[in-house]
Amino acid sequence: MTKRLDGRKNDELRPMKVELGVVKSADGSCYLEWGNNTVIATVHGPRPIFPKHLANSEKAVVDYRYRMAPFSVGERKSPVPAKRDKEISLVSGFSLESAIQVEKFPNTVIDIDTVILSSNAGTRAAAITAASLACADAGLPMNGIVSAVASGRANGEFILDLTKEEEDAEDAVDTAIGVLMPQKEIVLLQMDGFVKKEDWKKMISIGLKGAEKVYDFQKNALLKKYPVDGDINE
Amino acid sequence: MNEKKIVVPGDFLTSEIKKLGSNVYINNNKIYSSVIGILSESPEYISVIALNGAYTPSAGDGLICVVKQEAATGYVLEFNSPTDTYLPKSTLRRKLDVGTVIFARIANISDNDSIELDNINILPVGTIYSTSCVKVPRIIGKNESMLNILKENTQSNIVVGKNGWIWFSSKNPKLLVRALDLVVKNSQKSNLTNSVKEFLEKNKTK
Repeated sequence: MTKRLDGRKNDELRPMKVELGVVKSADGSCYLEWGNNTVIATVHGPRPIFPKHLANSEKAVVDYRYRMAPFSVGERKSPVPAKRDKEISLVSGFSLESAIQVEKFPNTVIDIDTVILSSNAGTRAAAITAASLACADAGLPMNGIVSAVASGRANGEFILDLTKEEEDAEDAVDTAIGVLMPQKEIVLLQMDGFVKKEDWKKMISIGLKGAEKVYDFQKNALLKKYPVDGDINE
Repeated sequence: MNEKKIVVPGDFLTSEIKKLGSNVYINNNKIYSSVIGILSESPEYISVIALNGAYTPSAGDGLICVVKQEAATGYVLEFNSPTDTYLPKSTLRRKLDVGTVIFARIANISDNDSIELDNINILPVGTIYSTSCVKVPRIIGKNESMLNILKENTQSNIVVGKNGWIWFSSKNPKLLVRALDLVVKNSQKSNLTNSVKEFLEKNKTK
């Protein structure tokens, strides 16, 4: 087994740092650093939906927005939402809708905005991880927390949480997996590249184990925001 | 006081059969938490006290509302909730201006989620402190203990709405807001009333 470029083991995540409640005007928010990825996620709502014809009288509409800042990549990215942004927004919205108990808020909208400030592969996973923490921070009733992570193959090795350099390998395959924890339901699955069936199973099992690590991290982040003991001060 | 336990969404709570309180859900005969909050459990009852969240109206609640808009036959009121409510002019004796703060009680919620208000009181000029509705029980305290401490030490007149909006007119508004921030920030901790009392007495003279 050869070592990876940044010295990690094959099933090791990049270092993560998180802070909740960073955006005061939002109902819930989260700032996440995951390796060289930086994400801010905010949640507004449930709030009235406009125009009214978009309203669903049985459940809340989840409006998820994934956007990359122009300065997040090497060369300037146009701030106009591209096809890729729209697609990721749509599928990530579905994955969070399965976690939130949307049927409790009919005729409303829950706006979830994620902005990638700095990117180094695996940004959609980072965005969903941050957005799901922001939803929990906002106090939305949820069935669980969505933990997302990328797994894949580079230079014949099956690895977790690929960096940009690993993603650019010749035989690279990249799978984004979103898992509703602790039920372990897969709510997001996207793949780039060609792969054999057996290899695909290996990648999924690595991804599921990785998602559990992400979940432990998310849980600790939430518990850290509300310390039960300690001094009462401003 | 027994130790408080914080749970996060999806946390498994129990597989015993219990009465379900707020913020829990049942799946395959097991009970899970649906929000981040403090677990409150007794032999026959289980619930989670949320630490943040939107206000859902229920009959009997006293609300602080602000007149948002005037229509031909009534007023649109906003009250820190996903939906606004409508107050017909026929129920009022006088005209309201946009921005007027009123205290009202929910008389009834009809099938199409529209809210009927009664006991409408127009509040004089003051300030609204906005927070999440889940912090309201801590701001009032047991037998209004917290509220009385806040009122006495800052010489304020305070009206608390169940929706998380708090109207006040105070001789020492800065101290009151600092004290309210303290309660909101530390709402999950025990022995809050005494700490707030100490805080107010320490900072009162400044």
